Amino acid sequence: MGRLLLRRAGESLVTLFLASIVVFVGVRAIPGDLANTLAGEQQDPATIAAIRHQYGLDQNVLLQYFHYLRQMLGGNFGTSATTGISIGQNILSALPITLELALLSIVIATIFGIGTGIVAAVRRGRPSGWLANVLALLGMSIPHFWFGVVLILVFAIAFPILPSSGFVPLGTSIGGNLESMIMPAIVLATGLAAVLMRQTRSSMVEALESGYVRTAQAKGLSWANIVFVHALRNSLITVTTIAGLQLGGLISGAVIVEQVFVLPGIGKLTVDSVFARDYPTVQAVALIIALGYIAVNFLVDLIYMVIDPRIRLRGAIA
Amino acid sequence: MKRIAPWICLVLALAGCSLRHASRAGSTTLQVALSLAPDKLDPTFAGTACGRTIFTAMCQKLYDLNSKDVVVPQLAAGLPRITDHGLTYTIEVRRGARFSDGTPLNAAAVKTSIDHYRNTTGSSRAAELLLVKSVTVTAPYEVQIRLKSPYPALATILADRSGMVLSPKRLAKLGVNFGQDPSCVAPFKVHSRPSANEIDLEKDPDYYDANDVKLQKIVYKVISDPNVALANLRSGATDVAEISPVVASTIHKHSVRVLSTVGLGDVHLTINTGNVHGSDAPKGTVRTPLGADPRVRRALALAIDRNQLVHIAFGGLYAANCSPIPRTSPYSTPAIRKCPPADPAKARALLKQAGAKTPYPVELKITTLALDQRVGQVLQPMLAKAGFKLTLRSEDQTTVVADQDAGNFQASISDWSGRLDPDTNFQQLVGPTNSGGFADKQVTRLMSDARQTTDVTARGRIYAKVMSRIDELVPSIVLAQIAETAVARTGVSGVHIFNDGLIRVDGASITG
Repeated sequence: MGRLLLRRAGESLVTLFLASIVVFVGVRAIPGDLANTLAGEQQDPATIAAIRHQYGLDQNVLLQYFHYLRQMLGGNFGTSATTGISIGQNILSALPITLELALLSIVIATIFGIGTGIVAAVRRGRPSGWLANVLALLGMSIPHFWFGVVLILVFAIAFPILPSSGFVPLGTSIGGNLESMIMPAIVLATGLAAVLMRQTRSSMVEALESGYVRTAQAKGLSWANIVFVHALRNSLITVTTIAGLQLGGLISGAVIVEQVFVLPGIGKLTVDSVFARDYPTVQAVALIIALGYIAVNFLVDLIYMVIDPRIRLRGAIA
Repeated sequence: MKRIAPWICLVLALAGCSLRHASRAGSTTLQVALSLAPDKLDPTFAGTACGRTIFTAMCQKLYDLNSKDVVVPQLAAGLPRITDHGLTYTIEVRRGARFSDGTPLNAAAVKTSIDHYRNTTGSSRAAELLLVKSVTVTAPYEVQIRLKSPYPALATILADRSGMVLSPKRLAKLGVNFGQDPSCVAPFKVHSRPSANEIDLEKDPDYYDANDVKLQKIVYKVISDPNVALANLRSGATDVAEISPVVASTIHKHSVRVLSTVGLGDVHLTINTGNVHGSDAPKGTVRTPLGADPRVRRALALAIDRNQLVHIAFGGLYAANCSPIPRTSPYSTPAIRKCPPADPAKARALLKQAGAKTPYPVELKITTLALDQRVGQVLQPMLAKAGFKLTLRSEDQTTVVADQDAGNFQASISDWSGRLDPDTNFQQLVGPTNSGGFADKQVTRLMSDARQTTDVTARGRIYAKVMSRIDELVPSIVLAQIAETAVARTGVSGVHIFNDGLIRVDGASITG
């Protein structure tokens, strides 16, 4: 198990190194020049040269990469090219918001997705089962942007019960925080809820037709006991795995949702930095997101090992 | 009853929430939505229009523009005394004003700021103040600026970021990091920057006119999408929003107020006539009929019906114009304002005379912005009537700018935010670093002549000659004078947008 863990950690580090190259090259492949952008409208050559020197853009690319790598390894992301504020500070203030949004979305998606999945499986062929299927299809099809604007129009303008934008920190007011997060979390949860619903439904259908459920029925167990204790419990293994893997997708979904609800999270930081051509910030944020994906995958691998002993054994033999 | 009880509770709970969001009357915090993230809060390095909007509330200048495009004193006590054949500007500084850090404003502070702008490496203001030879404190509240050569645009330059006076104490402490904790003379000072896309200002009790300031706080936040900004306005979460004219022209039916004014800038077509190795490199000749033959370019200009373009592409908010001088400017003489009407037949004749095979292909580089797309699509049928075949090439905005710099274009659409003095606008259009690579000794001489005098009539006559030369050689085609737009909730008063495009909210109040 220890060797397998080390191997997975090594693989993650190599992936992170490759991701750093992709991010570095990708940002430089974006058309345009940071110095030209920062020089403003008048494009004074002396100002452009000074900016280029300040950001080391006059050095060769390899030197620039090593400088960037050294900074990242030291946890120094530098300062934003446009605002002059520490990028690390910006990320630290934005990251908790995105994580809270992702967490709330998972909770909502899990409750709604698994709930409708059970309904669709248990009442398949009936109107409530069809309704659950339709909801899943809608959840997968509705664009986040459109759904977000519709929710604002309904719950912030037509019936003004929730704020249309902004963020209230959890420390300031728990109620205010939930008010500001509920609509974005629902929007972000739609896709994941639909995936979970479909997965729960198919696993549940399979479980409900299995021998151990027939045995439970023959034993005279209650319907609720059969569904929730026997069938659902066995179906949840696959569902949990899917939920874990979708966490990465939630971070990218947050890019749009945070724009719509003006939440100052990582997604909004990324988009605003791209629009402002703040390449050092884009570079740092892209690497942080890549790190997030790698960490989640590593965690999922760990959970697999805990859940499924076969993986542990295979790793030990290898 | 048991079944409906939870629903009644839910409805009551929701009603409770709704009371909290129903009205903002009496609030002293103004929420302003900007379309892009502002850059450094230091006028030395600032380059964005959003940043300029924030500065109007937190960093005053020696001079400002009023609603009639006239330069008026702000931190100066009066207009500058210009002597020595336009080489010396003597400025008296306002008495009794203090920076937000408590330091008194005086002539020494003005000198420190201007010298800082001129001498700091990477300063975006250095080019604007290039003709300044020295700044001398002649009395505790009087400063003298000596120029290397006459520069009539100086007063308007000092009505922008170069005229913002920075606290010398804060500058000495922070230097190039001044933007992290700026201190100026203004109704508001920076309270915090809680995230990269939000800036909170609070009222400065030391401000010399603090009694006239009704707001306690201004929150600037970035909302890039206009639909989201509008939804926020309608819900009351935002009071004022910066919005493009294209969107503004579509929202009259909603319960918001559109603030619109014709700006100082323009939209123009730049034609590559001499940029073969980059805009900084020596000029060459682009060996195509469009690049080398002014008759083909004149034909292109004659094919454009500006009134139709303004009506369809700019929603009637822009103004048809042929020169970079705003039509409201005192320099905009009848000769300068005169726009030749579209004449496709004459354009065809010119093309024939130039020996260009029709339909003559022209590739126009445009950005992916909706406004550029519209302009391109409206131009296509207009130019087709005159014998041109216009193809549009859409690229990301930065790519278009990079291609313009490198000379990798035939024609492209450019926007210029505009300045009050014509010199800066003409520099942008046909100055030494124009992206089309245009160079003409006559234009250069005339531009230099216009800088030798501060007499408006005399300068107007010279700029008419510059325009006449531009009409002859057609290195660029000005299409329209831009509009500046913003949207405010009906319950907000005291918000203004002048022709410089800056949203001024320092005198605002929330009434509903």
